[in-house]
Amino acid sequence: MMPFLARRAAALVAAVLLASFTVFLIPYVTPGDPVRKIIRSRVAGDVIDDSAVDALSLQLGLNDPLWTQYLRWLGRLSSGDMGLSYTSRTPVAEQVLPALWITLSLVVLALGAAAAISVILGVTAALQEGRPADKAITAVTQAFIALPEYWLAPLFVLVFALQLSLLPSAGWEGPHSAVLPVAVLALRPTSYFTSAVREGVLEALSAEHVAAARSRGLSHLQTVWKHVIPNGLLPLTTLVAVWFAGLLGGSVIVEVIFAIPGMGRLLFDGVLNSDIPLAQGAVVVVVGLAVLLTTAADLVHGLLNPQIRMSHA
Amino acid sequence: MRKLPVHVRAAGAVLLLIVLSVALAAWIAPYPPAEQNLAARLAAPDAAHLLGTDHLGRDTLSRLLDGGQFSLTIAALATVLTAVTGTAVGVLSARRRGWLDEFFTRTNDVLLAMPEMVVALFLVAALGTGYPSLLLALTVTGWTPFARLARALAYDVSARGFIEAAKVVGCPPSFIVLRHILPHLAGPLLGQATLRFGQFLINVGALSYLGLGVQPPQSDWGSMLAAAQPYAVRAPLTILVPGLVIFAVALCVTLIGQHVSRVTGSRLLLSTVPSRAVAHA
Amino acid sequence: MPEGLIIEKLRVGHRADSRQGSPTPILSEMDLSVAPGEFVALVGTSGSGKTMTALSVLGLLPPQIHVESGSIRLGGTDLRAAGEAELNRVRGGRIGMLFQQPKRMFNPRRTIGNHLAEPLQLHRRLRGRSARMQALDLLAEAGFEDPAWCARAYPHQLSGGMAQRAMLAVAMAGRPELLLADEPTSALDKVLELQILELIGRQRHSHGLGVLYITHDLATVSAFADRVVVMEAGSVQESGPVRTVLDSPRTTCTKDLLRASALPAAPAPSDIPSRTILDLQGVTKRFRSTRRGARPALEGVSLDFREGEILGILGQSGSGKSTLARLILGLETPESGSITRFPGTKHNRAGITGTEVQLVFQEPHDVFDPRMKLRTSLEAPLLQRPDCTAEDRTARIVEVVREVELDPALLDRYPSQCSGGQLQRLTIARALLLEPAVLICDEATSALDAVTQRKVLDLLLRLHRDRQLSLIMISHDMNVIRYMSHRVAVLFQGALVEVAPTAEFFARPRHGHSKELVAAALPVPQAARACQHVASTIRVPGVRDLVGSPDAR
Repeated sequence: MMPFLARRAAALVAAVLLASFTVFLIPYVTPGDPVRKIIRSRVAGDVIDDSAVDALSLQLGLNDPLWTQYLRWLGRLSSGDMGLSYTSRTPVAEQVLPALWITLSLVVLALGAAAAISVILGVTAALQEGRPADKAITAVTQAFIALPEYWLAPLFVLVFALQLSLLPSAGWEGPHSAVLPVAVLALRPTSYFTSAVREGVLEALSAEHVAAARSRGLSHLQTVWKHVIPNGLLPLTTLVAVWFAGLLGGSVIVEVIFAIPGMGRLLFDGVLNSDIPLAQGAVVVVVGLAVLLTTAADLVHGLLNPQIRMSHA
Repeated sequence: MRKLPVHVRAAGAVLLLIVLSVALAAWIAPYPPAEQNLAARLAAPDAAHLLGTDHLGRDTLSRLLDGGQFSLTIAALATVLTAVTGTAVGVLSARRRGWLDEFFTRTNDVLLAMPEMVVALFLVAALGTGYPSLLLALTVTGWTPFARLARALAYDVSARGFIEAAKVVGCPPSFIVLRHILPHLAGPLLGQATLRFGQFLINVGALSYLGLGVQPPQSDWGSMLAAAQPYAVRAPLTILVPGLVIFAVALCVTLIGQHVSRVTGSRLLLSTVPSRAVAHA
Repeated sequence: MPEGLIIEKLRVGHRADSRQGSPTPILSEMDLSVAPGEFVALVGTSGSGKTMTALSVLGLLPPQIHVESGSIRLGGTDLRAAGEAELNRVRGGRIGMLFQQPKRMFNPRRTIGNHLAEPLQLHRRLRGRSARMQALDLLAEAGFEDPAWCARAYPHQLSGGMAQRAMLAVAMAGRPELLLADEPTSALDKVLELQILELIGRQRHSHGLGVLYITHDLATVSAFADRVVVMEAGSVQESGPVRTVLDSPRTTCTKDLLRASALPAAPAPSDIPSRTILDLQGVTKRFRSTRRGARPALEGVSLDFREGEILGILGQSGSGKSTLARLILGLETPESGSITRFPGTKHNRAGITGTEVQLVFQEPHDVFDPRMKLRTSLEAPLLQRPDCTAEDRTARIVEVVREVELDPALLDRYPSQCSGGQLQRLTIARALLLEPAVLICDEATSALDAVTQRKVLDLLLRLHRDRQLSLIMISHDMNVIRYMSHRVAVLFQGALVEVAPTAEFFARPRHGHSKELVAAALPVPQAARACQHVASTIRVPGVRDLVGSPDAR
């Protein structure tokens, strides 16, 4: 388990370094003078004349080798300093924090809903294998995979907000406003989760140790409850983590459509307005979070599996 | 073509119909896609405009056929590119093992943790819009499911007795890879490719919807959806139709892909589970 | 008062509405009884309906199969009429069950202790501390020296033999009156098999347990059984006291079963040439353990192999036999020591695969790519020879296929369309195409049934004679080694502990492990006696040995 952990940790560090370095490079590779771009993200006032630019670039160390600048940038980043947004002229960190909360709650709600629904649907489908209930569940959840969020969301708004006036069409105020975005966001994971649960339970059901459990006197229900469902749900833990990362990205569309001031919206605005510090901040936070969560979930998966947990490799 | 289930045949037929009409758009479209007719804005379907018109009075059907060329081509290109790269990487890691395998596996895990959409947004922002950057945005993370699947399968096949037997009788590595390993990977990878095509199609649409994919005057299904949104209440058909086409194509390829995956004995879910979980499950 | 298990006129078949249902019954007119404290062996070839008998007793037949008529009674209870709740009390409570693949019969995510707790709670209402104490007692009775360790262990940490003993503890947890054992030792080697039988015998005497022991190996079980029931094609062919059935078998299927367990000893070789063609000096190979478990290692193995010789390498699973084969073939390179192939020729570089040494594998169904016609698979090695035209190739392939006594028409089939014996011959044919000097047979006949095994061994002997082919026979099967080899080398835990001419080895084994092996290969009644002390001194390796050990997969 320990070497396994060490390898994961190494990968984690490498991932964060790689992503942050790529992000750090944006001002240098996008069109325009990197020095002016960086100064604009560091100094509140407008700096126009060349002598001031030279003075500031000396002061901010912009003539140093790239990797020194990177390390300095990384240092600032880790203390929460992500520079000033071009558009709002306020520190990016001040915008990122509230947005992060919104996106996290959106994603957690969607994943929770998806996991809960898929456990019910998947277990039902597996226990009813081949019967109408299984076929219906499988057909419907398969169709979910093919549903584009940017189509479903406007349709939902059209029906539930504009026609039926049941739910708000946009914004992030109160539980009502969360229903539609969460529903749209949860759809695709529900589809994958359900099929994972179904496959997992079916596989667990066919394992030979299940027959052995019956021979010890456990009833069918006791066997399913103690030996089939726990084993069958195990793959879901990893899948949920993977989808955590996926949904952090997937929320861009949903946040844009429903005008939710989350990370996705922030990132989109940053990209659309060429607001480099804002885009940098948003990407670093989202990627860092995604990597961290995936690794955490991997750990949980390892802890739940005695063979991985106890391995010396 | 032995005993395909009804739903798979139906999916194939619908897919064929859509792809053919899109390919022949130049000949069968009733109007030039960009021709505006401000007198007939947001028109309901009638004999002149089978699917109505958009906010500039352009014929929806013609735009749909024309826009499909972009959407389908780029999704197909991305699928082929990622399938080839991913398979090569996967087979290479499984054959070489050691540090190369470790490197690719970790890269894979890392890319898996990267939100696809964020990476795409980021790349389009950094490199600008256009065909190449759009393609890069889709492929840079898109190869990983193929690599994971190919690696897991190649690992399993390599552990089979006939690979060792081939080695013992002196078959060179090229023969082993080309004649023994790749044929065993073909079916599952084909299933995977079909499924991924659907997801690429949806993702291209998403980028276009956000205004980061195809740029005007060229249009595709995603940008049509975005353009129609302000008029959703007045002309619901303008947002219903392009989305429905994306959904139909994605659903058809998903059904076909699921079928291929099932008959070739691999599981759809391999694509979304990290390499370790697949290889050692 | 009716006692024990009584099965009368049992008829089991496919349900009428199941699609794959065939009209022929799986069991018909099946009569069987096991009195309390009696040991009954149910013997038959695979597919004769032995397992179905056990499953009908437990009421656990697959859904598409059902009992059509007849009666099954246990100590006065009619099991056919019993409801599900009653059956759940019987399963594990009054009948314990052992399975063929013990490791797969444990939930991989739960400890052995968890498994023991279930029957203790269900059938004896024991929980908490008292259940734990009882579990430890049960494990100790099953021969575990450190029951506490075993209770905490997960199934993957146990070797095959340990898992079967743990399964015995679980089966005994509900204090059953009957033990159903379905081929519990077929996956184990002889020494472990006798240990398990001995342990079952002890439980039987101390608890008055009735035992129904299902097996295909008539000879081994006969030393422990009171009565034997021979089955074929779903019905009882012959039954009676062990001695009667063994000494005067009445039916052909009993005779076949008896003959299958006897192979004669090899004739002493006329003369073994002294030219060494393989020379191993202090070969050591260790493997980094991986998540899938480590390969068995080798430590300082020195061995010479002479031209025209048949060398038997004897060892149990995990002794490093296959590692040795892979080293000789050049598929692995030794960590230290040297391997010289064909001293004085150009082929003597170590670590390089050449075609002069060829291999016949254990699992014939996995040697050929299932997606290739056999002709293509056989042609593949010849494609590397530029001087070999297409006609040459076809001619040579047909020639070797005839040489292994097969019809060349077989070449246009796929591997799945051939039997194990045919495939094993084709493996030999493919090796012969390359005109090897040495053929290594790594458990080449263990996956074959006794009759086919004999034929393949005879083919190998003929090739040895006709082609002056040198053979290395790697096996755990004493009979095969004795039948084939001129010399025997014994591998034990990665070290070569004894090398001796075959006759001398079987007469006077020197190393302790060799003695154990030779004792286990004796005619069974003697072997059982010889092994009794073995069972009483079963050692349980410590945790440290196990986690890295090859058996802990």
